[in-house]
Amino acid sequence: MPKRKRGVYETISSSPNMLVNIPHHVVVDQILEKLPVKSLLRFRAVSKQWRTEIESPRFQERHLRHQQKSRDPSILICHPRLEKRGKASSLRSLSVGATLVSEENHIRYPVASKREINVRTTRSCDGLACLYSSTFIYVINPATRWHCKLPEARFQTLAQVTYNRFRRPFLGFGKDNITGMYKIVWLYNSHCVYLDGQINTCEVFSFENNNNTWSHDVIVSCPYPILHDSPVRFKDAGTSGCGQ
Amino acid sequence: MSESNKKISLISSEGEAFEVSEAVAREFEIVAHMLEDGCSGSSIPITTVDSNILGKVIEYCTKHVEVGNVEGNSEKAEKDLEEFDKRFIAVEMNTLFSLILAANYLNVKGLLNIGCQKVADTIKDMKPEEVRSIFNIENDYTPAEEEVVRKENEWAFQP
Repeated sequence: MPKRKRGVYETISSSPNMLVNIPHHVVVDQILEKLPVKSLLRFRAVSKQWRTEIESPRFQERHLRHQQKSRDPSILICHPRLEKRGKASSLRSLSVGATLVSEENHIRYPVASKREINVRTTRSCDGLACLYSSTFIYVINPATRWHCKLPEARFQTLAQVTYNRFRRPFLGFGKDNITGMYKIVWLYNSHCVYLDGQINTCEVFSFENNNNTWSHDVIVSCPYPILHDSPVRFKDAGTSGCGQ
Repeated sequence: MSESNKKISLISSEGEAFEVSEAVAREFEIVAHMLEDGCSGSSIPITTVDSNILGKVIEYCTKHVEVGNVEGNSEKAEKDLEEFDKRFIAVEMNTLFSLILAANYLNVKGLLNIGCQKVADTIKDMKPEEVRSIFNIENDYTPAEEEVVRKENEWAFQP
């Protein structure tokens, strides 16, 4: 291995048998933020300090912003396929660059029946998205292959009984810009699942909260039925449904 | 007008003088700050950078100032600059690291950026042990600890 020059105040030169040390903060802030997620997950094994840096919220925020600015778009494709032993895989991602299209296989999840492989994805938000069917919801990070199953919402429990009786609403997914919390929203017409009272029902799951349950907020300000064939849209801090 | 024609000498660690226009010298943010702080001397010592590297950094800045001065920056000029950057950093690792260090010290953001991008492109498919050797990092994991970290994202270790 070549000998090294140490110390910041030594002369910066390019003698052929010397490899200079780049200061740690330059490596982290200038080089690591330019690496793809797969490399970063591998480089957690370089040293404890690298692992701490890569896992820190500060670095992850910087990396996300850098990638959003400079990277070619990635496309998440949801194409359910039943595999052996009750598992299904349904996600692929395409990175569309100037010269190449690369494809990767992603998350596998257990399914009880064929019915469950009919999945949808929400729009993405900060690289996260939701993969959901009538019986489950996963929050997924396709780049890291991390995923997390959410508890069943009341809507899903009720909808299993009334299966196929109505057009299924789309799941809403977005970020509350004030609290920085990710929220997952079902917004549907109460009569579809035989709920009395308000015309619409809204269930919200705040991701990263502690109680791990859905809250049932009744929408009182919206007297119109929901159009189930358009997704819930998020407006800054709140959500707005697509009514008639 | 006379301002833009003003010449400044940048002195390398060996004492060699590089005469450049003020516009080029100002690409070194560290020099730009010195000039704004009222440093009126016509020669500025860059004592921590040797002639070889300083010459290269000046070459980079000169090219970028030239292209920036062209009226109505055409697509062709931008492409040329991209080609220039590509050729400029197609050097061996030692020189690349020295350029990054100098760009960081002199605060030449564009050069720092393309240099670091080149390093990122070079290391992105490497194994952790190769990365350690490049950056002179000591592995402070025990074999058992390292195994756990590798297992957590096994797929990332496959090609």
